[in-house]
Amino acid sequence: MRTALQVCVSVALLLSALPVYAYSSPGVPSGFVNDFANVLSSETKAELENGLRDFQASTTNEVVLVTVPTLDGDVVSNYAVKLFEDWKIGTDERDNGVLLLFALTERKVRIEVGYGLEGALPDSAAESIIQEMIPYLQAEDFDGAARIGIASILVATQGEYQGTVRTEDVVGSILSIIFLGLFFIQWVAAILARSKSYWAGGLIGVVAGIVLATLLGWWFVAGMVLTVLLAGLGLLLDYGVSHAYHEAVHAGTPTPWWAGGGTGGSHSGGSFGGFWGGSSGGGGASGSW
Amino acid sequence: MKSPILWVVVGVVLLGALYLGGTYNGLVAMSEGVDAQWAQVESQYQRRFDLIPNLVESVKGIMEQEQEVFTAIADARTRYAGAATPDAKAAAVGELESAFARLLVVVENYPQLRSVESVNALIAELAGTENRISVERMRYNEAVRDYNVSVKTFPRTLVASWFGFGPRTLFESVEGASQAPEVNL
Repeated sequence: MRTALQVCVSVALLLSALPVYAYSSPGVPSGFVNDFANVLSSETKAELENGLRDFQASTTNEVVLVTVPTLDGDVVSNYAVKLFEDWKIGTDERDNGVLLLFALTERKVRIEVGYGLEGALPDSAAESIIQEMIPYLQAEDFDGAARIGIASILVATQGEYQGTVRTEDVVGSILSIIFLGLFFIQWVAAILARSKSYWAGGLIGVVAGIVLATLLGWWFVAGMVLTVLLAGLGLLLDYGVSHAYHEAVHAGTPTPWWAGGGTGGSHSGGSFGGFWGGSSGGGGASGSW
Repeated sequence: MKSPILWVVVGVVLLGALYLGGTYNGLVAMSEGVDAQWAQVESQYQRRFDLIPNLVESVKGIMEQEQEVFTAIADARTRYAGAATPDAKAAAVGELESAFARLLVVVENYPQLRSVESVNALIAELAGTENRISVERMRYNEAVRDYNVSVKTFPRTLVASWFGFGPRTLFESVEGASQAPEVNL
């Protein structure tokens, strides 16, 4: 354990000498349990996945288990921070994510704690959870290590943020943005389709590009590119919808949904949508087995 | 009024103003980001300075003959608290880091400390803090690098110099960092 501290101190000291570590992403998350190293049994995976989903539903805390075959030359503390950053574990507002990482080749384990859970799961608590897991890891019992590690993390963090529906707010606001966006596009399309001109869409694209670039504070070149792109898109949209609308009117068939003639749209669900924008700052503990 | 040249001039002026405004706002945002990230580094420094005395207190009784290390740590801490300039702060942090590294080496010589729970907990907290410091420093350097690229590349460099945005300095290890203990992996 003291050797671990010395490693940390040395890493901190040498940081500016070694500014770039070789982090490479293991992939996108497929859920709360991501067994890239293929060391967990399917029962353990299913059980932990369900447990962690329920935990997130009741506390909003996002606890994620990741196993990777190798760190590819990176050190475990840096790898965990980068992966956390990459996947944005935890909610944006609370930063309440925890990452439990096993790296097989290097025989390293790390608990990376988001900013918002550093109080509930201080480094000393993370360290003792690591100590609990090490005998299982040494015996190559990854199911056992994962179960005991996750269980202890859940016990430590369950009281921090209780019974709120923050994630539904996020879902709601994202959905409403999408709806507003679709509504707006449909509205523009309906007007453009009925108009005789094919160029109004391009003009709207130019105006939208300039306004967007100004609002976003983009650099000149990026703003120009955006404007040209949106102008082209607007022209295409106008041409496309005008054409289709007139054809539909001519043929006497119902006009398409975007022209204001009917309703449409469907929701697709089921696939994992990722985490909610949390971040960590190197809190937690590491160990090796 | 109907002259096309006038409209072209108006258009160019508008686009120029748009560019200036966007660039200026972008530089302000990046500069503020760098400052905010440095504040993160300093808050982790403060956390370390708050934790170390606790560790020192709990090992002092057992490590009576190591007074020199404790004095060095206490001195560095006093100097950090009294530091007015960023350079003075960085120097105090460097002194602390080398003294702290020496403390960790001598702690290794006292196996009886391993059984003291409070010492174990404090060492875990300090290990976490060291890691946080390295993370926040890394992010600070990333923020400075982005900002400096922005300030130094054409044509933004023109706008940056008009409004007085100079390059910022990267964090580098201070004197004494070379005394880091050997790592036994």
